[in-house]
Amino acid sequence: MSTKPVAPSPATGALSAILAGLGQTNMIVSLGLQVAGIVVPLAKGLVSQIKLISQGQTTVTYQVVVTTDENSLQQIDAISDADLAAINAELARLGKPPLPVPTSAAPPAAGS
Amino acid sequence: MRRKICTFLLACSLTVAIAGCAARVKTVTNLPAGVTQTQVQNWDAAVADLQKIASVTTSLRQSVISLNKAGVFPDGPAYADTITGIGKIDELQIEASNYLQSVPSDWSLPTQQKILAETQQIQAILTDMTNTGIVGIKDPASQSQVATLISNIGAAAALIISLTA
Repeated sequence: MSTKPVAPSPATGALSAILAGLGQTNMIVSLGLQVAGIVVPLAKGLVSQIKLISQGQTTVTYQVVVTTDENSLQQIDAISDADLAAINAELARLGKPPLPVPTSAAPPAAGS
Repeated sequence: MRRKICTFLLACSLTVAIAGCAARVKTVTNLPAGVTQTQVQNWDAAVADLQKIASVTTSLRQSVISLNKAGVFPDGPAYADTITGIGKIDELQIEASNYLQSVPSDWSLPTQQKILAETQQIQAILTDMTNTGIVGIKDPASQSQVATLISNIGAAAALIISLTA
């Protein structure tokens, strides 16, 4: 019985090659994710950081956590904004008043 | 048309079911002075769970509007209440997201209280939606699958609440 080596899928292999190549050059790139018809930033920063996250590493630097989560929070804003736009369109069709879209929250008071 | 919507709802439910949101990182290095490992892990977990809520909420919004367009969830008070409830959850998501962005990695008591209050409001809206909103969906299978999406949002909200003192 012979065993055949399992090759990565073309898509995975291509992505790995691109990330590895960019990681060596330490370039800054931005990736986008299409959510509800709009493109929101998925990650923006050093490619080495993107590689850490994409490889599912459980030990990362504080800066990687902050950068990743800031991008996640921006995605939440974008998704929620798109939802509110769609819902307000439906409410308008029903003759109901629109829901207000919240603005940025004020930072907490110093020392709180 | 109804079968397509049911398939979409089932896919949403399965996607949510397999997307766990426990703490994403086990060890955080290069911590600034005064910031603890646990603080960063809890803040990161809260962000992940909030993202899960946002993801399922958008699936819920798409499902409900699709059911309306298919005639399964007709215009009326139940439909209006349901989409208004979803919109209010979106408002709370934006408020929570903006707050977390303003206090990176700060999972102190004021942050916990703010996020707890918003998450509890989301849970109250989900309860109203279940009791008086989605009862307007005529097809029992579609109603059940929408209820599953609502339940998944509630489960993610409970995870956030479990992070608070």
